[in-house]
Amino acid sequence: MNKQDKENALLEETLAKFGVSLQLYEKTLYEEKKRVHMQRRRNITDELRHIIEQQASKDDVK
Amino acid sequence: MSFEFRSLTLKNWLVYSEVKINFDAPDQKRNLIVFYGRNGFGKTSLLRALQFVFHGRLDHNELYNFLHDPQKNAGLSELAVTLEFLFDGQIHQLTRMATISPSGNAYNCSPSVKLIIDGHNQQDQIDDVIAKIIPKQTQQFVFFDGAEITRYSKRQHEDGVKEAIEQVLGIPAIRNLRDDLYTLIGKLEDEQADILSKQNIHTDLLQGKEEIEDLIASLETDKQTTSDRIKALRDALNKLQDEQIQVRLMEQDIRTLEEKEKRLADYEERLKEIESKIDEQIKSAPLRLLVNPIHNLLQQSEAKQRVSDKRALTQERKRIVEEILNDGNCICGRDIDDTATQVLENMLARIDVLVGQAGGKGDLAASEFTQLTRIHHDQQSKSAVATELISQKASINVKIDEVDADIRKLKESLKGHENASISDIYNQQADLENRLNMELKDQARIEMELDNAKRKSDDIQRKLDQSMTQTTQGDALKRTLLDTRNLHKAVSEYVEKLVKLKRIRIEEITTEIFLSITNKPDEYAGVTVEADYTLQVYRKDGSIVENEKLSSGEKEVLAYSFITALNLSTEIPAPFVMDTPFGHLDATHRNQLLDSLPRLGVQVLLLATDRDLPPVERDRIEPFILQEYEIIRDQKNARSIINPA
Repeated sequence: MNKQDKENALLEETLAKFGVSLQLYEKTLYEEKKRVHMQRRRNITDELRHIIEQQASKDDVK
Repeated sequence: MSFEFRSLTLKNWLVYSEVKINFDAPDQKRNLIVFYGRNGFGKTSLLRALQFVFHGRLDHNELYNFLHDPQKNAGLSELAVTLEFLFDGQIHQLTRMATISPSGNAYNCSPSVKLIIDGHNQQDQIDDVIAKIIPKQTQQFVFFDGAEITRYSKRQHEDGVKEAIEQVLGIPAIRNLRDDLYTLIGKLEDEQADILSKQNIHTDLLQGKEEIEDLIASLETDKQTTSDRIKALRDALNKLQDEQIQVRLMEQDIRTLEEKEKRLADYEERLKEIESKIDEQIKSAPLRLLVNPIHNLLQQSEAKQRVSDKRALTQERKRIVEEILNDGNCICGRDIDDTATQVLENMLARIDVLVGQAGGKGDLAASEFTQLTRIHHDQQSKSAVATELISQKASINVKIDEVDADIRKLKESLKGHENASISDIYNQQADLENRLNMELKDQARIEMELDNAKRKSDDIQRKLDQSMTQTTQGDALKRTLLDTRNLHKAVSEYVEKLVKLKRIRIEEITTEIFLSITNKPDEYAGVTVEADYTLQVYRKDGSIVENEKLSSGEKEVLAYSFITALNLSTEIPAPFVMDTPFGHLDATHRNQLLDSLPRLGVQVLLLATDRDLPPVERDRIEPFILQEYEIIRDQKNARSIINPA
């Protein structure tokens, strides 16, 4: 198992333990990364909430 | 996914007026691009150009200093660095430039930056893209200079190094997500409380929840404080252990010092004894002081003895003359007349005078001579004892000087630690361990109280959540809260495990590279990467090599291994640009480091002097060289040019 596979396996296992979808994790992390790259830390809780609520509606539709 | 440089174009940049370098794409076999250049020809200018194009936020004065031949070009000129590279399957063209024009007595500089990705201008994304490719804090892991990389082998990192390392590993974004989710949970819970209080539902629960949240916050603070204290105590204990080793060595020195001081005292005692014996000799034997005059006297007597032998000869002559006179005949048979008789009588008188002179009063009698000879022998033997004593004294003095020098040396090395004692260390250690145990107990208690408080808080929250279903707005909020909490728990657990996983991975790669380069492969067993990303080399017997005891070359190898491991641990490893990387390395280290470069699997730009890469070493890595360039100095026009070698 290479390093990326190990990290992916760890992520999937942890997300599954708390019933979180990979998509939700990736979307919220992407939002964070944008801030990290820009080196401008600011409150992004509204964006995160929006992503979480959007994901919940998508899951409900499914 | 890969990251490769394709070309670098320089215009009026430091020693270069106009230069374009094309880089071939590395393949499985060849990944090394070598630039040969003497000192001052422009190797570091290339490294600085690459740093500039990514993160060159220079002020006006600095830009002016980077301009090639400012006196000639300052009229109106443009300074520009363009790097074309492939990243994540897309061709990026990044240009950073500045126009410099005179303004009164000074210069006006207008810097600008341009990014084109796959032929499209991406002006608004420049900062994001650069931060994604090579974050500013991590550029030292990509563009490094042999003289500076040893900073990563220090026992304690400088400020910002840990953050830079975690940035490379992509950790901060996940940590920020965890923290932002926690903030969001707080907001959602406040919102929930607001809805419930408006409806007058469970005001008592809301009150209880608020109190329990305050308690949790206070316990979290206590937990952090205790944890900090535990860390400080553990650090102090580790330091004490190091000190213990030092003190053990010092105690050995102290014992040696004590032995030497005792030996010195013995020697001094013996010296006193010898000096006293010498004094006695001098006092009790005044004649001995006359050894030399007696010796002279004896020599004179012997000489006189020889003279007395001459007297016998003279007397014999006298006898012959007397016989001639008595016989009245000469030995020739003729009669001796009156004149001849007169001559013979005169001769006899002269002989008498001579005999008288030889047997005068100053002559030594035989008995006196014997006595003097005895005294002389006696004094000579006494003198031999004295000579022996004097020789012993000289030898003791030499030993005293030697021991004294040793003592001075030992005292110098023990300066400030004369009273070092292992028992003191044990006492301090016991005290620290005691305090540590108390803190650990305290930590366990806080954690238990925290768990209880959190459970209570969860109970209240569950009851509040149940009440929320009474309204549509509340129902949706309850769902968002639940999803946010689950995501927060998952991210919290994941980031902790991920940091550990990445650290272990970096440790493995660092160890692998370090062992392949070190010139002590039979002694060293590996490298530990601590939680704060500091490094420790350990031996095969498990003992740790103190970083301060590593040579400059070893530190360079350790830092190189770590930086390489970090780069290889990132999602898209960047090309390496190494400026004169072998400054402190011996031939073994240099050759083994060179051998490790092809195995990195990324493009490597090596900026080398002829000392860094002599022909024999160059021939050895030839199968891995993708391109070679030579930096040539046009001294007439004071500029450098780059040609394929």
